[in-house]
Parts: sequence; C-alpha cells; structure tokens
Amino acid sequence: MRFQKYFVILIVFIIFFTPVLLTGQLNSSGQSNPFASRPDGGTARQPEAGQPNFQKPTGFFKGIWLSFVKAQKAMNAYLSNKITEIKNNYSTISVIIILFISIAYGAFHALGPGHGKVIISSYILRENISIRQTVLLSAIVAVTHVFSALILGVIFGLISNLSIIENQETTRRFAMLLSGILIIIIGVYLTVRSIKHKECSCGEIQPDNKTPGWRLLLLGFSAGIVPCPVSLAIVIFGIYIQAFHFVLIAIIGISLGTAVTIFILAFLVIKIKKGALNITEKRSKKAARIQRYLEYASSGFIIFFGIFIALSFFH
Amino acid sequence: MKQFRMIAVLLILLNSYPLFSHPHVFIDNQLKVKMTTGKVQEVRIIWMFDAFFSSNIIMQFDRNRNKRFEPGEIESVRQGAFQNLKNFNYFTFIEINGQNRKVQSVRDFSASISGNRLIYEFTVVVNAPVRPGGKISIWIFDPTNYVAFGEPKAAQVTIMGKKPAGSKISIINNKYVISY
Repeated sequence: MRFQKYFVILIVFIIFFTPVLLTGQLNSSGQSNPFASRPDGGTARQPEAGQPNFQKPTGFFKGIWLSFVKAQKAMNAYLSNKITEIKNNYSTISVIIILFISIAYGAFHALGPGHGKVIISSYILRENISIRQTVLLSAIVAVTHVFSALILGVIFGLISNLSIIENQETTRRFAMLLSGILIIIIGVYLTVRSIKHKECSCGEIQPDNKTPGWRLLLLGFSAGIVPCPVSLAIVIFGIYIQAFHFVLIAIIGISLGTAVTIFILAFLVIKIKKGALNITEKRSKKAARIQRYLEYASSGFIIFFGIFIALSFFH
Repeated sequence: MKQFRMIAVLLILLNSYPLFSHPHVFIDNQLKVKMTTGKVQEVRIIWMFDAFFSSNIIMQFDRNRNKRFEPGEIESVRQGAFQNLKNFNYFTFIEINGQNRKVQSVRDFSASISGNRLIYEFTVVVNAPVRPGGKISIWIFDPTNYVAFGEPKAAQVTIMGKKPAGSKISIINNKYVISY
C-alpha cells in the first residue's frame, strides 16, 4: 500500500516535470539569435575554466537527439537545394517531395524546446480537453507560430533597407513579452476559476466538460505567437532566390509537421493524466485530491512560465 | 494500465536528456591550425552557413545585389552579424595541454558568398607554447544550441606551417584533437 502511495507521488512528479524536461531546459526557450548585435553589447557567456563543454549533450538518449539534429541539417540542405532546383526545373513530384520533407522538418524541429508544448501540456493536465480539441489547439499553435514568421518574412523581404536580423530579434522579444503576458492572464484566470470551483462545490472538483473555443484560440495564439526563426529564414530565402511560391509549400509543410509533434506530445500527456487518475480510481477521494493538486500546480506552472517568457524580453 | 506504464517509462528515459539542440542555423566547419616550432600561432576558422540563414545575411548586407561582398559590406557584416559572437566565445573553445585558452579577440574577418551560401573566415590568435607529447583540443559548438555545427571530421582540420613530427588529428567527444 505504501509502495502504491509513493508510486502515485512519483507519477504526479513525472507529469509536472515531463513537459519541462521533455522540451528542454527553461533557459533555452525563446533563444536569441547570437549573430544579432545587441545595443547594450550583450552579455558574455564564457565557459568556466575547465568546463569548456558545458551544456554539451549528455544522457542515455544523446545519440538519438544528435541524430535528430543531423536529420534536421540534412533536411534543411535538401530543402534549400530542392527549392532552388524546382525554380528552374518544375515538376509536380518535386513539389510533393518539398511538402513531405517540410512536414518531417517541422515535426523534428518542434521536438526542440519551445513551440508551446509546455503551456499546452500544463493546460491539458488541469482541463478536460477532447482529442478533437487537442488537434485544433495544436493546429492553432503551429499556424500562429509559422505564419507569423511568414508575415514577418514578407515585410523584411520587401522593405529592402531593413536590418533583418536586428529587427527579427526586436520582433522576437516583443512577441515573447506579448506571449508571456497572455499566458500569465490565462494562468491567473484558471487559478481564480479553480478557487471558485472549490468554494462552491465543497471540495469536489468539477472542471468544465469542454474547453470553450475562445480559450483554445487564446491559448494557441499566446503559445505560438513568437515567430518561427526557421520559417522566417526560409521565407526570406524564397524572396532572395525569387521562388516565393515554392517556399509557401515548405511553410505549409513545416506548419503541419509542427502541429503533428505538438499533438503527439499533448496526446501523451492526456494518456499519462488518465493513467495517474486511474491508479487511484478505486478510491475516488484520492483521485479527486490528485486532480485538485494537478489543477493548482498546473495553473501555478502556467503563471510561472508566462513570467519566465515575459522576462526574456529584457534579456 | 500496461500502456500507461510504457508511456511513463518512455518519458522517464526521454528525460535523461534534458537539453538537446534546437538549431535554427547550420554551419559546416573547417580549421587551419598554424604552427611554428614549439608553438601554436593561430587557428583560421572557416564557416559555411546553410542556404536559408545565408540568404538573410546576404539580403541585408549585399546592398548592391551583385552576389559578392565588397570591403565596406564585409565590415557591415562584421559589425551587424559577427561581432556579437564575442559574447559566445566565437563558438570556439580551445584547450592546450589541458588548459583553457579563452578567445580574447579575432582578426582578419572576411565574409563571402559561394552559390547561395554565406562563408565567414576569421583567425583566432592562440600564440601558446606546446610541449612534446601534448594535445591541442578545439571544440566548435554553440552553447545556446541556436547553431548546429556539422559533425566534426578529422579531414576538416589542416595543420599549416611547422607540423610537429608524428602529429595526429582525431575526433574525441565531438572535438578536434591534435596530438603529437
């Protein structure tokens, strides 16, 4: 019995730390472009003496993750070559290849830190959300993330005297600030709602049966609003080599791939949540308590993460 | 329940690797290590960027759109898209006989265009003595994971000048190692 108790604690722990750990350390979300000049000169990030390989890949799955990076590099090179080639030598099969490679590229890329996975996972932990809604939410995040880059890329590409990398950095920082503020608002709203539920239902948790559409939209928008740097670079490439329409196919593919990865992670979180609650289903009081802890912890985590994202504006 | 346990185990295993590259820029590397008797003088580093990132820099800095960088444009590239790398140690971490050599400054920066790809070249001044039986280790990587460098290969390193007798280039733990 004691073992079961600790097992439940372990499961809840995994649920909360998986989104963070699975998607990378917190400090790597919203990475800034190291090439962009900073007005303040930037902050030196020198390694400590004797530790030149800090933050180098470690862990059991190092090889797999490194092969993901290698795969992205190969897909990146293949896509740029294919788009250049198709510009002069059009074929339908090449268009289909570009679409499929882009889907894979988007899916692999979205495995990295960011892309709204932490926020979505935390939200799923506390709310009842159907698979259909999860698909929709993943699509909203992916479309916002990729198509904000498309709009930005077109602006940068068309205004010839614009400093692309500096403006990209400025836009990224403001988008992070907006994203962070919206996420904090969502987190605070969910916390207030939890408290109200507790007050009115004598401890029984009664989450909404269905997440309303406006909340999905706001959540997806706030999680995806920071423009995707990869898509932005591809759009500018398309303008540079005058093959913008082919680049659009790549952008649609990357968006689809991103949505697939976000959905898979969200689906796993739904399954884990159900599993954790099923362990204690025979004792409904314990299940209700776990559900309540999940609610509070995930709201707190959403607020914390929102603050973290918003603060990156100042970095 | 079985399915849930499998997912939980999978996630625990995935957690064993908390940070992995989330690269937005890809670079292929080449190094030219210049040596004199008993000394590593400098390392010339050549980076070839992926075509997507390259187009961003070329669009911004090749003002006259002639697909080459003139001296004035190279200086703009240096100021606008290179000098901030000093905050990242120019992604270059050198260790000689087990001692870190912090990259203080670089010189002879140059930017050029080959096809659709951008090329940076710059020199890291090392000027450090090496003793027989010693080792020079060079890591090229981005600690922030914004940039992913191609997998290091011994063939990417050339020793210029006075090559120590019996010197050997190998790749150990993702770094270039010259032992002699």
